[in-house]
Amino acid sequence: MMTPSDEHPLPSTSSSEEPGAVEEVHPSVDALERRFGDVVLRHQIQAGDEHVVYVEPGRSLEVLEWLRDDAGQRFDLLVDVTAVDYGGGRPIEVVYQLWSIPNRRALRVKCELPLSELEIDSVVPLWDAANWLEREVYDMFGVHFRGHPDPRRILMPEFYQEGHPLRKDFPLRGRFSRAEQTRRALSQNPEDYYPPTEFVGPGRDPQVPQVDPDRLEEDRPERELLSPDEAEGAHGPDDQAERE
Amino acid sequence: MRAEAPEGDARIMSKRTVEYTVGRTPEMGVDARPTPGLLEPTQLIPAEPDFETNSMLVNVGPQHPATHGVLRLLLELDGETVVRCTPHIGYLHSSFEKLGEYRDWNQIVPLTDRMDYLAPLIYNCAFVMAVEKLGGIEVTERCKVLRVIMMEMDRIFGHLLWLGTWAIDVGAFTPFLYAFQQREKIYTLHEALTGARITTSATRVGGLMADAPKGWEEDVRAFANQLPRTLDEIDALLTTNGIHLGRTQGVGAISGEEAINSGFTGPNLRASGVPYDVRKDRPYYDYETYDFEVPVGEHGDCYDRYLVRMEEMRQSCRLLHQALDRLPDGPVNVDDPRVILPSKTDCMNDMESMIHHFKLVMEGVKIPEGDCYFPVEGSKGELGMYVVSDGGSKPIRWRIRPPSFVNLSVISKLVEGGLFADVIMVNASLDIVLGEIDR
Amino acid sequence: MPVTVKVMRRPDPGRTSYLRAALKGMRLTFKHLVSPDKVTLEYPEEQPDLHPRWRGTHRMEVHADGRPKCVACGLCPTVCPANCIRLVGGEDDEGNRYPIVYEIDEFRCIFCGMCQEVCPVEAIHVGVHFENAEYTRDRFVYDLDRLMEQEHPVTALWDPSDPRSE
Repeated sequence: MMTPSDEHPLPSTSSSEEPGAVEEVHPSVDALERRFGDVVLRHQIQAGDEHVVYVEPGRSLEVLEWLRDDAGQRFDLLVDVTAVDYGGGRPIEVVYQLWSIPNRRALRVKCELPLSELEIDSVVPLWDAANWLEREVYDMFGVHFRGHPDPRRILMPEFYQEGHPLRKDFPLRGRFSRAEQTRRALSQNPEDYYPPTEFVGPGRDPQVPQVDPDRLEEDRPERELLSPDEAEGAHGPDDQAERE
Repeated sequence: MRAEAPEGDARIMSKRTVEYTVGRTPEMGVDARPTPGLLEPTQLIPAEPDFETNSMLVNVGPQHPATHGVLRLLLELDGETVVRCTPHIGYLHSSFEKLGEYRDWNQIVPLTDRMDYLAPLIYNCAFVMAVEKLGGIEVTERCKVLRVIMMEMDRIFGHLLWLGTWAIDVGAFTPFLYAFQQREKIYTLHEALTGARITTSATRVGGLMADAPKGWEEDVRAFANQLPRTLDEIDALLTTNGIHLGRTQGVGAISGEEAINSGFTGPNLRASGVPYDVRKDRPYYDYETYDFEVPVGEHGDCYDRYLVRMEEMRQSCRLLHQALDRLPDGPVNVDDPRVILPSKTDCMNDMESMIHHFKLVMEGVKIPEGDCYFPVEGSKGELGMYVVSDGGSKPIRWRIRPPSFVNLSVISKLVEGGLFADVIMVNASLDIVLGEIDR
Repeated sequence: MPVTVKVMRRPDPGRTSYLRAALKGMRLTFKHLVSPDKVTLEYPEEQPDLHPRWRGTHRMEVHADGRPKCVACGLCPTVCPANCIRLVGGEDDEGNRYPIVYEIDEFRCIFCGMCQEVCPVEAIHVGVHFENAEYTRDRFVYDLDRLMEQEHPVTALWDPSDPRSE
């Protein structure tokens, strides 16, 4: 079983060899700006050496596909998809962490989504890894991913009514009081917790996840609940409550 | 493998026939890929009245030891073949990320070790490393090497638990006991270093909660010296054992390209032949100067994941020795009163230190505005900490890139079409920890 | 720098077996059966040897005259990540601050030890003790008297005279 080790020198990269060396220019960012022009809204360097590109949300799929497939880029590993809510009515950022295994290069792509239009193209067609990650972003932030094959909640209960927990306007202990949460929990029909996908019987093709679109629609009004005041006030009082 | 028979064929008994893939016996040779059709499928059975075949739903978990936590797998079975697998997670959801937004940077550290309770020190270290990078804090050399020791020790810690439970899932109980004897030693080392056995909370932004106690380095070295013997014993029990091979070779195989596309990282990805290791590819804490090898597999199946993890433990032992050799003397904490509490002696004798102490505790460490993604090689895969700060003492957003969450999302792809008993093996080979998946 | 890769090859077919592996396993387990190394502990009779850094149930240090050392500065409730400390401070006739109410909910406590780490007068400590059993839950909210009564040794972490617990 134990074999002598083989030396596999990876293709040496042009620039990002030195860890810690700050480069002002990122080859992929340059190429992106040349290729897509205005779609690249901003370019930042964060925390010393991390390159961040803000991309127009409408064309994010196109940009990411190019980043994945272009011979000079080859960002083949989608490390993470997440979102950041800064609160105060500011747009929610969807963050893609990319890593190119052949070129050993990292890039962070961000898309800013205004609260009134929390929709972006799903990247599941490009990376399977995005499947659960996007479901989590939908669950936690209410960002809808167009074309996602299985847009259900993932961490919260399937029919969770209180909104999207990681949004800044969501209080730390939930929207409902403890008594109300208990009342709701006790009045639940346990079968409600079993999503429609599980009731597979004769006549239903078990291969296709049966998602009831109405169920998903129920979540949508939560978005309209957000007013800037709410979002502003959310952080402070909760903090107090948490401290208590 | 599932084949849809043509409609109207009178000789077909059921509408859906199943070709079992039997061919993983070691007698066929080790590199034998599953060959379909050793067992004759049901086509040759004379036609009978067409029974309606309904697939059966089997609920595995959430309270089942083979699911390694509160994972629920809803399996649709056709006979003994898995047609569809729907994982349900979230039973352990504790909203660590939301809780973190209401806590100081240092107060988050106790949250991190509750996520992966199988390798808590890696999480402690990864979090503060991300915060330090965002804050531009350069930790001392001794702290760096100590953190390397802590992380490599916990890589062994996590892999040993995987090894024990993996052996149980194959049906062997003995390796579990041997692995847990070794884990007990690491528990004791945790206890000596941090005062707790699992919930270590060992790091602080800018350093460690406390320097290693006297004699701890020798204890770690003694542990690293005797661990390979246990690994050899378990190796003797499992590596060439026909039962183990038969249950794991060719099960849950995934190609390298597919593994990358599915977001696999860590030993799971390396088992598919992709030598991506964060310690080598995005080195931190001078990992590029340590001499260690990255084990990769060739087939990407459960057995290769086993081989890779076994070898990783040996490499971690090597790393422990190297790190202990180069452990320098000196302070473990940065000398900056805005980041690290002054020593107790100073605090009680010196007015200025007392003021710093109160100011730091009441206000917390201030981290400049910006965001930072910092990946480390966790025991399960690439563990990334993404922190966003607005310049205050609390994060705007704290995100963990959960390695086992992404690894688990592939389980449907790996088990569909296989046998029901293989689901347990595939699940065990992915090495998941639900505390981190549900966060 | 090149990545040193070690390809994990599978064992030769000649080395794999059922019977030989079973016998080899038997030999190993019997060797362990007669091995003199003891790895278990008969717990209630034998007490485990806790390391002096153990972080367990709290203890409040007292002055020689029986007053608590706590000066009610409020750092420990501030830093506590679990919010399990309740503190109401007061001032006596001589102007010394002291805690009127000092309660630690040991059920909420996560034993991170931060309260001891930040205590500027070395009053509150986590201790080397882990056996706690009570008949009711409310007995686990330790008030000031209860914290002062505790007799187990305190943890050696953050000891000013001995920062490396040597």
